[in-house]
Amino acid sequence: MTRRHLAYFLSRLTAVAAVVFISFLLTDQLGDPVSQVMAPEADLAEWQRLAAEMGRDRPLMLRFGSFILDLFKGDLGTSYRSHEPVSTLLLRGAPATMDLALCGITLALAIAVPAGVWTAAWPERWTSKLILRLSIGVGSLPMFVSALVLMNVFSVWLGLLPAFGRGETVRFQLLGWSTWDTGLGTRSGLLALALPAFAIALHQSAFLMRLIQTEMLNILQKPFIEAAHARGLAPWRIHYRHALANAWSPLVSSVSQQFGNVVMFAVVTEVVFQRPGLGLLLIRSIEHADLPVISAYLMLSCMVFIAVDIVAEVVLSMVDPRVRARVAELRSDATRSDAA
Amino acid sequence: MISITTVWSLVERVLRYALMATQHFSTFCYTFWSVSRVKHRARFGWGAAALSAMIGLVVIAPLLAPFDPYELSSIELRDARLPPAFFDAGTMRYLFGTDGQGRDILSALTHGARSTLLIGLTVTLIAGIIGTALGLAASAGGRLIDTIIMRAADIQLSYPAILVALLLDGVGRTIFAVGSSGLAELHANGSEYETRNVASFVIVIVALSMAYWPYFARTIRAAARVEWSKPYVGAAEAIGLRGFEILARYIWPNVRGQVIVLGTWTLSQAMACEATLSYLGVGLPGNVPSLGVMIRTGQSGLMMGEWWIAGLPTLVLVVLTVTVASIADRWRIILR
Repeated sequence: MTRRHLAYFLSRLTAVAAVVFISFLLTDQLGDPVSQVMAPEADLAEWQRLAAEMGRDRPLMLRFGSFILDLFKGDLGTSYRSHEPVSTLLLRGAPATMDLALCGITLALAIAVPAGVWTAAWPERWTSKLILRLSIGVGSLPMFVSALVLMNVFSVWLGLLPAFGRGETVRFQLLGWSTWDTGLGTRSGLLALALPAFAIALHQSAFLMRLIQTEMLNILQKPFIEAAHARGLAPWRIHYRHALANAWSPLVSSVSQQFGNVVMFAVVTEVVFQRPGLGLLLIRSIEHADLPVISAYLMLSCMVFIAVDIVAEVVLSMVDPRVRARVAELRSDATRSDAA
Repeated sequence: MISITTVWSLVERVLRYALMATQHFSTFCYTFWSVSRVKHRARFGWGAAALSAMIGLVVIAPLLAPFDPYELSSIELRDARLPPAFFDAGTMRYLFGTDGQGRDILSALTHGARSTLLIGLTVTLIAGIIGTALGLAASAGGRLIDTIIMRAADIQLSYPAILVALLLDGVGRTIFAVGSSGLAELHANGSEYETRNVASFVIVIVALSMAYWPYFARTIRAAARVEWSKPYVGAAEAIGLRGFEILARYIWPNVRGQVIVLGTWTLSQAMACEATLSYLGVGLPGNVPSLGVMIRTGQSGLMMGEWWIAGLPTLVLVVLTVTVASIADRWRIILR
């Protein structure tokens, strides 16, 4: 391990530690966790007995320790609202959100990459100007507005796609202790996914497109593009093979940074389309001040962001030879050249 | 021991800085005025006009709105779900129709746009001041201050604004016991209603300000660091100016253009964010007119052909956010 890797992991570790501690404080210090689990007609003696049973009389740091231990055992506490284990609730909601996020990002890239390349390659054409205008407009709209518009056009007026729910699902056994329902395998599941995924993709691509356009505009001015033109290559080949290859690495890193946005978009879309995922769970929990679920969601999203960040780092070193070279150079502890 | 002279020197210093701040504020205003006026006069055309018209309308909203949406006694349930006046079934009494409970849409729209714009402006102001101050401090202070501020901003930034606001909102609701159960709402008397309304306004503003300060801090720090490395800072140090004076006289005038671009962008985002929160049911409560709440309650009417209940607030919201965003884009192009 080099110092750079170590610093990277340490900074991520502090972020995780901070979020876990905040989540602990949320469940521990706010509200009254004891009265949330006891029967409404119980008296003070019952409250004291339960408080002692739950370890409320121990010091804060000891309680934090047992919170961490429970975390490693997969015990995230019990929901105040439904009195089910939080981990069960999260696992039940995760597949719907996962389907949505994956399809949303894929669709967003499928829209953003051609649009970004087109607007950078021919910035003076009226189509490019229209695309740029549209991206500002769509990007500044609140997410739920465009989701509502899509829903009204495609399911209320045209009646083409279902407006609510997630259709039929296929169930997988996951490591023997839980199940995973995906809507990607069935026709009705895919139809129910189409509108929410497109709503996410529209917003995400408005941002990604402008990023690709800015990157491509810089790259297209480099001499090697002129050389490629001089060699008589077809313009699409130059744009997609030669120029876009250099735009991948900022794209990957910003997709990973924007993953939080995708999670947030998923919350809004799930509420609009009433998809039973993690986002809907979060909103219901906030409405009922269900702190164990809120804090578990906080921790889960933090871990997902960091996992995505690490994956992006790996992908980056795979697609971009420059990053690979930098890592290799650091690994061999070679002296850095001043030429860079 | 704190002596009277130390206190006096502190007071004197504060007064001096206040004087400096007012002087700089006039320069500040002049700069923006001149940028908009001289350099790109034509470019501000419709966006700025629409925005100032909207701000004007929203300020005089109570005079313009025919009814008071807060006043429950003026509501007639008989008049529920009336279409706008330009349809056959509509009446001139309700120009834009009524919602499911017989409330006038036009009044609710003006008051709703008012709270959206008010929250947006407050959030922009708070987040802008905190973020800019922290960004300047990070650029001017030592390495420790820089690390602490920027690490906090990084953690904050990895959570998008709505998520931060949602989580803070959940916490705030627990503390203030806002809307925890339907029964409590029913038994609450007038003053409790009032407290909860104010509390939910405060929660939304605090949550959004918390979410948007890192954008200011990051941009300002980056721009200020570039300025600190320029030779004129060395010259200023050579003539004996102190850190704060360099910051106020040399660094700040060179980075404040960024504040305006970011501020306009934040305004549009904060308004969109407030509407989203209210739409999700965790922002402003249902008894306060707000665009998000109107869209949420009117959504069921869309299936039955009552498009105006949700459609008109959506239209107002779209015009508000898109106008401000396009102004922000113009600023970005001009100041680049």
